[in-house]
Amino acid sequence: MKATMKLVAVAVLVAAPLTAQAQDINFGALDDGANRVSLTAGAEHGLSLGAGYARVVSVASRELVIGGDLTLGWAEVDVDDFRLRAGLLAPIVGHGRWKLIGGITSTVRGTKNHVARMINVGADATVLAGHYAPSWFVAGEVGFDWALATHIAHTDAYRMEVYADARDGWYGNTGGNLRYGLQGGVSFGRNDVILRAGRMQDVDGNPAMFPFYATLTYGARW
Amino acid sequence: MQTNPTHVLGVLALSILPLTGCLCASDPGNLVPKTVAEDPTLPAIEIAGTRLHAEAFGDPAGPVIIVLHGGPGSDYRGLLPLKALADDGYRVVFWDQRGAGLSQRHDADEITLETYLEDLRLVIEHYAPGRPLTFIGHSWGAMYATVFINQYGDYDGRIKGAILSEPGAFTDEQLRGYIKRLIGSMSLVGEQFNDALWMGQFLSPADHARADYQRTMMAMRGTPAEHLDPDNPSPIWRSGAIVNAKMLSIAEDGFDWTTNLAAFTRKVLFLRGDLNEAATLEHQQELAAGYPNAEIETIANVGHEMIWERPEEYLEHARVYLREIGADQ
Repeated sequence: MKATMKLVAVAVLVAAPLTAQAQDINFGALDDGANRVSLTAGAEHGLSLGAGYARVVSVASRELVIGGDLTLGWAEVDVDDFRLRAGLLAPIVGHGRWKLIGGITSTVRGTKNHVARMINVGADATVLAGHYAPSWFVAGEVGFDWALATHIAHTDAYRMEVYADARDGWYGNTGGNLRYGLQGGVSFGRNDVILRAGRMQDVDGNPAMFPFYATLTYGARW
Repeated sequence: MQTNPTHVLGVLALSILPLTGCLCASDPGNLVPKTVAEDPTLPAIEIAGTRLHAEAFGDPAGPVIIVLHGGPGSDYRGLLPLKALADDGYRVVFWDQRGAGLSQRHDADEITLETYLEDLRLVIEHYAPGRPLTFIGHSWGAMYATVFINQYGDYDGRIKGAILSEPGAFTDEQLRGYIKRLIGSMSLVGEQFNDALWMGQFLSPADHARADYQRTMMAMRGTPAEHLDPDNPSPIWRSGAIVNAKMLSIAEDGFDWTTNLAAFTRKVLFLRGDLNEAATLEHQQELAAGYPNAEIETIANVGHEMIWERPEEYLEHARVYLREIGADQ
């Protein structure tokens, strides 16, 4: 367990300086502040609450949004169910207010249930396409969240009630979920309110265990 | 601020590192036990193009009891207290149904009610060729026994009776009410439900082993309405996800397994736990009314897993009934 926690800590330290989770941001209102904090609530693989930070930076005359967020499953305030993401979002092409935006995110997440404690290292790729104005935006979203490797440590209950010889360790390529939907929001002053919603299916095309997502984000910029 | 390429490489390296020497979730025996198709040392029979995890206890010439487990998709591990009936002279047959427990896995198109009916008929002929028998069915297993009786009646006089423990439904209308009570007892903001959803980020049900692992996680604790004893949990080997989903989808198409039950005049015993809020007394009375000759017995202070949690009381009721219908002859 110590080794796992060390791995998580290293992942966070390595990823944090370079990245941003900023899938819900109005690219038409980036001029109103280079820093942004956000609070997100909704349903995405269960009920969740998250907080994030993003910063707009200029790289080779191109504006990028980098940052990260921490999300917790909020059923009975469960800190065992967490997701820590850090990533980068950048315009690929654009024409006026119409933009095509791409993003990559690295993910570390954990869960504990009566079967096992799991730590997962993953990656997420997102493409957004839409109309981004200073005071509002609407965009389509397609993304793939890949569960690259998962460390599974089974509980005593699972060993006693189900399978005594279940193997603990790192499992490779344990799955992934494709999501597609819409997002839109309004920006007023230095505030954003953004709604995302859509459907999810697993890597084999089956509906995900919770086949929908819907989140509401409030962001403040300075 | 400029991005540093070494940071990108660092993240990639960190991500790829765990992949070296990784276990595979799909490999037999890693997350869930091997089935009889993967482990030849497990007790098994072969019928109708499938290999079933099965074993029988007691005098081979004794009166036969066919035990039908619940789920759909679960297994007989939690019903093994019924093995005690072998000491009374019965031949007690346990088996995991097609695609369930430790039996061979099949794709969804090979799981139909017709194949299930034929499987049960062939299991009977394997263990009790031409001989009388009695069913003991738990939950879905009690429904399964009823499907068979509705189809075959008393099977040329060979089915002497049935002990049905908390069947969920014999018609689609009954099933809707039953599932509503089961699901309704779960909190949508509760830990159990959200743990199951959160796990969807970690593991996709890409094959039987992964799907069964997810299904087992969801099935392990039951629903609050069933009132399972957390200090004495009923064990399972492996839950068959495909069978569970397929049987529920068959139910969505509508069914009525009571159409021929009036012809079955043998006495049927319904055995229930009084704590179960999904299989209430009224609900079991409604189901029992489908049989012309049924009696309901209630075991106090126990929920759905009465066979595991209260084996002595269950066996006492079973023994009285089996003697009454002459199954011990």
